[in-house]
Amino acid sequence: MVFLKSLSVYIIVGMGVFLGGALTAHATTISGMVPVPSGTYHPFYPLSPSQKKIVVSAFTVDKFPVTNKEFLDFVKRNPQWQKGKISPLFADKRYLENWARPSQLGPSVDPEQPVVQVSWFAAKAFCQSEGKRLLTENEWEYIANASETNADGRLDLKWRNKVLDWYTKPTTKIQKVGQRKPNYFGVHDLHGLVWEWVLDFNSSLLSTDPRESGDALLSRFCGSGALAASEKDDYPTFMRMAFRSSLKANYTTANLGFRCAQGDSR
Amino acid sequence: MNLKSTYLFLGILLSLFSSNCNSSEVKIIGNSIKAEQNEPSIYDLKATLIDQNNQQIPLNVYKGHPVVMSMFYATCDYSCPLLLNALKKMEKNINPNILPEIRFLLVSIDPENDTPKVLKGRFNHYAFSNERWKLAKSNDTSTREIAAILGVAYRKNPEGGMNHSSLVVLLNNEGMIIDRQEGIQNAVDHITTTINTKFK
Repeated sequence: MVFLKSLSVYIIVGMGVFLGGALTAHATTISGMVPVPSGTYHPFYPLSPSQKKIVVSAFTVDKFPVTNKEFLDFVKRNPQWQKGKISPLFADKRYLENWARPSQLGPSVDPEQPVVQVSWFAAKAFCQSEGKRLLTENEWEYIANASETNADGRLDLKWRNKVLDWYTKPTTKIQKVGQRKPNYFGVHDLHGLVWEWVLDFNSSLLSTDPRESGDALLSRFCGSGALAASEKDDYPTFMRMAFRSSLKANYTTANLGFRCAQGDSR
Repeated sequence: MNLKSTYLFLGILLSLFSSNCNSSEVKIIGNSIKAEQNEPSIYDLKATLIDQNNQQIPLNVYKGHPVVMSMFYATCDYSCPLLLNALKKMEKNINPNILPEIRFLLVSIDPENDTPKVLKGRFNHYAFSNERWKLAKSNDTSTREIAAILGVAYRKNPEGGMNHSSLVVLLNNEGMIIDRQEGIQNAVDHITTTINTKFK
């Protein structure tokens, strides 16, 4: 993913501080959640006719992805989640490999970067330790579909192109969280920073083989909700679905982090 | 990204996704199959289930036996009957010297609706043996975790029922996955062969 330089953000922030105005979204406020009201969301790739419109119940969500600093605090308090101690069932060999030591970040890792090289199990355990949980895929996609000014960003072509831009350029160094403006819901960094784990990452039945159809799909997948996608109406959404489908619960990657939520996910 | 490189990328993703992994190299020691050193036991996951007899059981209830494991749900009307019938037929195709050691653990992906009573109904329908089979369910969290470990994808369908992938897994005596096959009949056949060729 790519990181746009938003100089304008820094200027606005500076002016805001100077004028003493209230800032609701600033990189120094690393902790904190925002409420997301219930609403409906129209997936680009509905898995069945009845899933064209998905109702999402109200929930609260972390404004930013979980940072290295926060995860370090967690593994210090819960040493069974330190690298070296953890079962390979719960995290692969590359778990927290960018950290200098099991309970030390080291000089090349910024505390305010989103934590990466974490597995689904580790992410879940962190959220649980805070009395929270991972977002469901529906919740994540719902808030990710919002532009800066609108709950539904589908019609905002300028915004969609900006997001597409991030998804189609190679990653450089991962920035700190909160460097960009929040979206309509007050949530930062859903695009352009890291991929994020969701609670039900293994809920999409996705065939990315354009030759696979009919019986072949049926023998692997049961139910009408198998997606054989040969078109990419929305490339970023398709990429996220394909990416999630490729994950295993103990996988860790250099660009995969997470954030937490609270509230009844039903 | 042009179309060609897109398909290449998707092809790579597909190969990640379909993960039709061959069993890791197995060494035969006594009556049990050892997996490679790095393979963890799924029993590292602590989970409590309830079986068709309303008994609470841990995930490692069959530790000490090779286990054929899969996931299903009771009201599934297409792939699950195919799967359960195929698994039942496995008993005829497994070497009769080996069969007494084998256990079958089927976990529901629809814990809300698959109560022990419902599971018992299915159990009787297929006339599984109480000695070797358990149909069981857990809570939402453990169900998602077990599915994640086995590699089963599932999702509640708003129209009713579940969307899910089908696969069969073979665990050794310590709960390490030594074979994993997606699909139904082909998966069962493959696992049967593994059992018959690898066990002494």
